Amino acid sequence: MKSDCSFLHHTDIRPLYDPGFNKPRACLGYGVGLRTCHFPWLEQHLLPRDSGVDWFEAITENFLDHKGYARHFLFKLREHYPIALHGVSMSIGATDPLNTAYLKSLRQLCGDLQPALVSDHLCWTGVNGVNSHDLLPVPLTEESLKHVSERVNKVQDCLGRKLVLENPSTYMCFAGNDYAEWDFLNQLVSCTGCELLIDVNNIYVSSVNQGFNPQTYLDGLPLDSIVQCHLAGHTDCATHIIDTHDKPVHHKVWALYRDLIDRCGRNVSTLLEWDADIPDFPELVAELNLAKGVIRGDMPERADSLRPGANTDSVQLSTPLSAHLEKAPSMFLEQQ
Amino acid sequence: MSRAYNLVERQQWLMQRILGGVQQNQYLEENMAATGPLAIEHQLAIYQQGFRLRLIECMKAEFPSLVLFLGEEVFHLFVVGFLSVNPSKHYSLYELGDGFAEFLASTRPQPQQVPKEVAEKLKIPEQLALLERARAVSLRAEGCEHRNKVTVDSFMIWPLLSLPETSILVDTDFSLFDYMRKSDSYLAKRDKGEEAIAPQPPSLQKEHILVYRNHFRVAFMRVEKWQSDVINALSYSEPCDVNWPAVAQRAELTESQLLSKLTLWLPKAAAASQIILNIAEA
Ligand SMILES: [Fe+2]
Repeated sequence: MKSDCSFLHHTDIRPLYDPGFNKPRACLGYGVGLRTCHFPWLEQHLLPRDSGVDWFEAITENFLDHKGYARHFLFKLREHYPIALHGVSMSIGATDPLNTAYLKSLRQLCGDLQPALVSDHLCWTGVNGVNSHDLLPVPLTEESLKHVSERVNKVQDCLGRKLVLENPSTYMCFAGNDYAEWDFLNQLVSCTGCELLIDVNNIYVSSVNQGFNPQTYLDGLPLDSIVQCHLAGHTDCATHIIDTHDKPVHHKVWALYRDLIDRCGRNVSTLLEWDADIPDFPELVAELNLAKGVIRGDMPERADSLRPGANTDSVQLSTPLSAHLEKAPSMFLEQQ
Repeated sequence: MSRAYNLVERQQWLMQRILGGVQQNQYLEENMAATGPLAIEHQLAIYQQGFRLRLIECMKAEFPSLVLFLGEEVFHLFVVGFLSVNPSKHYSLYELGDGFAEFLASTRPQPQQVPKEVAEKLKIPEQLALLERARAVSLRAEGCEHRNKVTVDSFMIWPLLSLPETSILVDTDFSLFDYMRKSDSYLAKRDKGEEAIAPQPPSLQKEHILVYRNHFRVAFMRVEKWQSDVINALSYSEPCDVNWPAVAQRAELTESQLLSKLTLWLPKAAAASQIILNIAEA
């Protein structure tokens, strides 16, 4: 399908064409989300044999237009690891026009960094030019499918590569939907050839909040298009679950991960996300390594995360982002 | 039965509910399907509350000393007010804090509305916000890390001077340099769970603080009045257009005094990436 990429012609940057556009993806192994609090540790343990991870996922927006240390360090890591760029502001489902400044910046970063995967979420983040910085649920209608498909095609043309889309955690569902989320993803893949990042924790969170069977979700997925999965912890608030990314992976999510990999019949690039109360890097790697055991059938022993009365009194934050903001120790120097 | 809403209408509806907060609960049944164990108004509230909380957390990460000075509750009120008139329009969270200092200045009461001892300190929050914003900008802007090393040769022909984007001068009326230094170390200790004493509020004291970046590290440095005049001149003019006699006059120095001070200071300032020497490549 041809799409309108006319805004590209006003720039001096040529569109990128990835020679591997249509090749099957290699499995990247086991990785973690890159967070600035781990930079000092990673400086000392730069090589994969010392860090214990195979690849990293970096939050796209934190490196767009960045000319400081974080970008310098990302490129240093890139010398030794595959990197996936994972976005939170492409807003692929929004009715506002695609943000051309964002896409130009992303294309520039892709050209410089050569990431293994470029992903974002099946969501929208705002309208009327306002960014809520939240991953808002897409109405799952025919109209929406056509709209999102056209935009995915435009983005893929601009980037010269397949876009990978992730299922978000949802806490509400629009009235009048024509599709279940898994059906919508299936249709989107066939309309655009995009690929999928399946977050098994998000499936679990949404299944409890929306009252569907997570196995039905897995049954409905186009398995051949899944190139990556996410694992993360959530918070059980008794009446619902919030995707807080601040805990170890729940045992029911581990079971769902095993079921997904079984269905795929192959290893899938696996990534652990942790965005609040972030543990030290070795502890993070220990949690990630449980995934290798789960595939062999060793399920981690975990109690349910909800203690009686716990987590029900305070507001829990989904999609926490503040830990992504770079905080570097400043120096205070006396006058020269 | 009412007609089905289209995609634009659905998104406009949800966005208005989120920006308006939990009191904005119109047309829920028309727009939301009842799914799962939670009532739809509680489902919506997760998005409404999460929106505010998420952005407040991000602002706290950018302005930790200001949070310490104002206290969490007052800081939250200012952030909610700021975001309601300046909703985020950028894809990057780093743009969120842009304009916060100006917002604080615009909401500052007039000195005659408050007691004299309070009036003197009304500008502390906005000036602290300027300093913390300067740190965030300096952290990400184009710096001098990829430039050639400064050597003695660089000075044998007097070079054109300019400021890198990472150097930002903040003129304050308070002892904010010490306050930031002490609050940084206090917050670092508190985060580690160690005992620490919160710093005293800043006192009245004119300071010129240069925020700059050297080898990817952001630093704060107090500079003298004449140095701030030089830095201001560099930030407002093209390198070749600096009116040096006017700078000397503003700094209350003779031209030869300014020249000798510059001779001593510039090599150190250039080596620390506070300023840029624009040397023509051979
Ligand atoms: Fe995820």
